[in-house]
Amino acid sequence: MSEKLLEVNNYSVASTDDIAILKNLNLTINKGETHVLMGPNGAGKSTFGSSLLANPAYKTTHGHILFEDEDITALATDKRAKKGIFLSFQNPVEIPGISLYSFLRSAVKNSAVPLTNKQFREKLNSILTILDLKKEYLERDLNVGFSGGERKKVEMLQLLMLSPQLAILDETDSGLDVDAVNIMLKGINEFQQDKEKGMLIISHNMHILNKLNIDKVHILVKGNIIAEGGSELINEINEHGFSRFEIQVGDKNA
Amino acid sequence: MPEVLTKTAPITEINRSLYDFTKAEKDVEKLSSGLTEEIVRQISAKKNEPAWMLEHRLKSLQTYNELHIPNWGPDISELNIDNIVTYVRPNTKLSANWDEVPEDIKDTFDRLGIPEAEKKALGGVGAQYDSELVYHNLQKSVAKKGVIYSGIEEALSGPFAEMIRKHFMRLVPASDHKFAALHGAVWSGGSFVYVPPYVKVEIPLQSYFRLNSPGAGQFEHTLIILDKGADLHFIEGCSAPKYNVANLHAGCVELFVGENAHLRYSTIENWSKNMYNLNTKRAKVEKNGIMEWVSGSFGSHTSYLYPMTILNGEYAKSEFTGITFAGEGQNLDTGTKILHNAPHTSSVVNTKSLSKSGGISTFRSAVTITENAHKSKASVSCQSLMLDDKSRSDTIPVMDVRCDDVNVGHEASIGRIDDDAVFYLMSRGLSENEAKTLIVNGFANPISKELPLEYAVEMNNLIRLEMEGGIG
Amino acid sequence: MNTLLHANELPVLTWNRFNVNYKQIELSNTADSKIEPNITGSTNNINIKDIAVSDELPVIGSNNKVINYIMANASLRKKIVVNKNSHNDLPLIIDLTMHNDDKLTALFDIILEENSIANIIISVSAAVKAHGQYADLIRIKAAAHAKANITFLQLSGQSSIAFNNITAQLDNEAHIKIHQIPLGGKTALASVTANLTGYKSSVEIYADYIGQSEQDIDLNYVACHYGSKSTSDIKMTGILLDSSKKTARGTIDFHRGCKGASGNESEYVLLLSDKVKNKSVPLILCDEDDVAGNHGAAIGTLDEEPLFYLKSRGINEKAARQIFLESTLSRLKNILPANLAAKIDNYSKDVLCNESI
Ligand SMILES: Nc1ncnc2c1ncn2[C@@H]1O[C@H](COP(=O)(O)OP(=O)(O)OP(=O)(O)O)[C@@H](O)[C@H]1O
Ligand SMILES: [Mg+2]
Repeated sequence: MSEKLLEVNNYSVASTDDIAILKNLNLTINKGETHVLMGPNGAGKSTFGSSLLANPAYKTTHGHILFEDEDITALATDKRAKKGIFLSFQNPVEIPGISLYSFLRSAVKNSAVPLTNKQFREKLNSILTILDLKKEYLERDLNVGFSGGERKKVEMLQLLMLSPQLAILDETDSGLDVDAVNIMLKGINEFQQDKEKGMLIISHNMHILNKLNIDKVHILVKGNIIAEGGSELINEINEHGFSRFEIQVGDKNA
Repeated sequence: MPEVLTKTAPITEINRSLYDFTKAEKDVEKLSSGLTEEIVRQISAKKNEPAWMLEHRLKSLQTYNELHIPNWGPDISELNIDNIVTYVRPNTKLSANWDEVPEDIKDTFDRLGIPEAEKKALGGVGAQYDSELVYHNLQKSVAKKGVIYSGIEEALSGPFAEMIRKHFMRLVPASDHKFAALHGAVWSGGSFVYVPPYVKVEIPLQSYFRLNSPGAGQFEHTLIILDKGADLHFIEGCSAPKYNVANLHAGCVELFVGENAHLRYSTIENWSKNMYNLNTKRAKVEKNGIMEWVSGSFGSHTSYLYPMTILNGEYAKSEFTGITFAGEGQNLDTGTKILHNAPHTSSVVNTKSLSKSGGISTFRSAVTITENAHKSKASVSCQSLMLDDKSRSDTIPVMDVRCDDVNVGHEASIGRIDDDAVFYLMSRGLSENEAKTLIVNGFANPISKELPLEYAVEMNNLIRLEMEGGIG
Repeated sequence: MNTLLHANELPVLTWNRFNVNYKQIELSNTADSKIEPNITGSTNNINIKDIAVSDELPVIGSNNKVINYIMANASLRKKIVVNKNSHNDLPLIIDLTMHNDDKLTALFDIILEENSIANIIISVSAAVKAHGQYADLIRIKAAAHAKANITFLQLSGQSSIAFNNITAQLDNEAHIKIHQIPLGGKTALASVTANLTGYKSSVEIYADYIGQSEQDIDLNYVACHYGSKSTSDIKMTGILLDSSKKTARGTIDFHRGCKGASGNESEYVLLLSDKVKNKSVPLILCDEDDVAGNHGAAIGTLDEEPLFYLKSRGINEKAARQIFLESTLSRLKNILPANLAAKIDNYSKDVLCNESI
């Protein structure tokens, strides 16, 4: 079996009303790797993460997505999720009428590794403890009235419960207090232990990025991947911002 | 300090001098008051109209006699149709030249600023005085595109007679309610507009209705037909001097918006406070068509006014923007009805209402999504502001949904001016009344900015006048 | 001989053609079946006796003909008095079980004395397929500083009519939470009229329903604010399946003098079949300026955005519908004692199992 977990080839994405957002992206994440996607606001990072799960707000105008060597470009959202792709949303959606508990139970049942009731409860309890989440949250409606930080923790809770193959974290660290960031790091570290899995982290947070093992960094500017490299790129951006890359895109578009 | 706030003379009674002037009735021809078959026949005879119209009038009269007044809504038991003169003919003929309009009538419209506005910003004007049109004119450039804008009675005998017959009171049948039936029996005056396919009328057309005669009713009929892809903005204004006897307005507006057509219909209603305004307005919108209503209700003693939109073709859209200001002695029951009758239709309703000095304002609406209106969207938002503790404001919406894959949202809120906001403005040197006026104008602003400029200014003036009465 | 009633009348009328001004029902005047309530739970500081004619509460709210019908027919008349200053956190449970073709008319007066706390659950249930008629009037009088949770669970048979009416009168700083769960019945009517006469009195009214099959659900909630700083919160939540119908009326009525009062009304309806019919009539009536009234409603099917979120977690549309149902049921079970929660399980198994969701 190949080492490739996710492969994106000549991948272009537009909004349903035909505004081009992502342009000809190429990117490969191997098993056991953690990648970081950085870029200025509005670059298209969330669009990329979301389109990897076939968000109906976007359409693929060109290219392919391969997951574990299988072409999933035409696959619907829930099918992709079942294959083991997980997206932690930048803005988790409020869903009145569905309790967090029913939702988790159902999501796990639908995952690649459905647990027995007992296993489910045990795992849930231990993760709640790790994430310092109160049990009462389970009976509340999904994300309804949750604070920004609580929503991010609930995303992490789902990630750990579902143990997907590929985790995409879209600014899961933003809006968290110091303790919560550390908890989140613990969660990420735990996930990284499994060398069959991979991760794509979208973040602006240098603290968190500096504390993680990172294999590759991609810089996305105006829908183009404009530079790639090791974690040294993170420090460069920390010091000089994105301007060097933005100029490059200007040249490219000209 | 903003300029609107510098006017100082304290006015205890609301100043309506701009609208509240009367003209002596000279040589007018008046039918006797009340409603009988005899009167209906007389009206018809005066108009020299086709036989089907007399038949329609008589059938409507019969329907009128069969129907009851509504068991909901404001009390209209004091309105006695036996005391209402249904037909008042001014002593003049319809003209396309202001100089031919009799001096006293011309002076009325001059004071209301109509000829002035016509010169500046309108593509055509119709002016009705009591029961008859006295002036109707369409700019040559607009007429050249094939646009028809004329008196509806005149058009009944012209090349569009058949089109009118096919549309007249088909959207609003006489059986709709008692006052639609009354309209069907005694209607008089009003305008007819036809815009041919793909013609865009760049400047608005306007009709102005003035009711001068005490104790009279006005029953004009407005029929607008937009063919495929046509585009029009139509403005309607109304006013009357105040009398001690009840006046009645039971007009009817029927709007046909063809495929891909776009119609905006703006009204500033400023009838005097002895008026019963029981007006019926309705639009039918075909595939991809867009209907926009902008409606300001300031006048009248009692109003029942709910412009209705029927979204009849796929992807048809409507937008209703309304404001109602109920002051002393007024009971204004206003709102809208939307019928989603085709897939992918969408509607947005946005209204504001204000109540002051014992005024009663009611927002009443109905949104219906029929079985076949899949993927339709409707959203209603209404906000009410209570300006003192003597007034009343009610919100009475109905949503009737018979289809699952739709999205219907409703939001309503009611309250008074935020004390903190008043305090903040006063801390910057505004008087309490100025602060409140500013806040009320801000509240109304999303609506007034939808109006043509002169009307927005007029609306702000009306609000200022109402507010100068002092807030309890 | 039957009585025709205009039930669940809207406090202010609107267009007749929408058929929302009232719900016309026909109730039987045959003698009631003999049904004894099974009363369990906290009874130490709560006295239950039969209602004597002499101590009738002033009738508040509700249509007179409806009240007259209940008064004339009620075979079960209980007065429940919660003693002054007593705190009864454990629920008092009144469980009514009906059999096929039973008719029951009940009148409950719940008197909450000053500063008392109570939790009262009334449940009426029958076999799934049972025919029958249940009608009641529950009159609550809450003295100053009293607090209570009143829950009404209705699991009548699927061929029956159930008509539950609650009126409440609240004195200074009294706080009542009323939860109606009209799950059973072919025709299920439920109403609450709360009169907030006391200063800072407050009422919360919750309704939860799941319309299925040909069920016809009709709700009417009215919060009348008289007392200054009184608050009300009306929340209606439901799912409609199959060919079910539902009409929900909610009214916040601010009377002159209720300075500083606030009222909220919200409705959330999930439509899961294209044969359902949903009507919503949320009124705000306002005769006082120093108030804040809000209403919000969302009616429709699963939105694209939440659906994408659920799908991204591997839950397809069908499963999503299922968990909406399960979430509702488990939320209801959580607020009920075990024996009543078990009834919800039975209902879920017997009634919802065949649902084409
Ligand atoms: N459905 C849509 N229709 C049109 N434009 C869209 C749509 N979704 C996103 N965009 C636009 O595409 C661009 C990329 O948005 P995206 O949310 O992916 O940015 P981002 O890189 O995640 O930014 P941030 O760092 O602020 O989260 C933005 O300009 C955004 O406005
Ligand atoms: Mg983003």
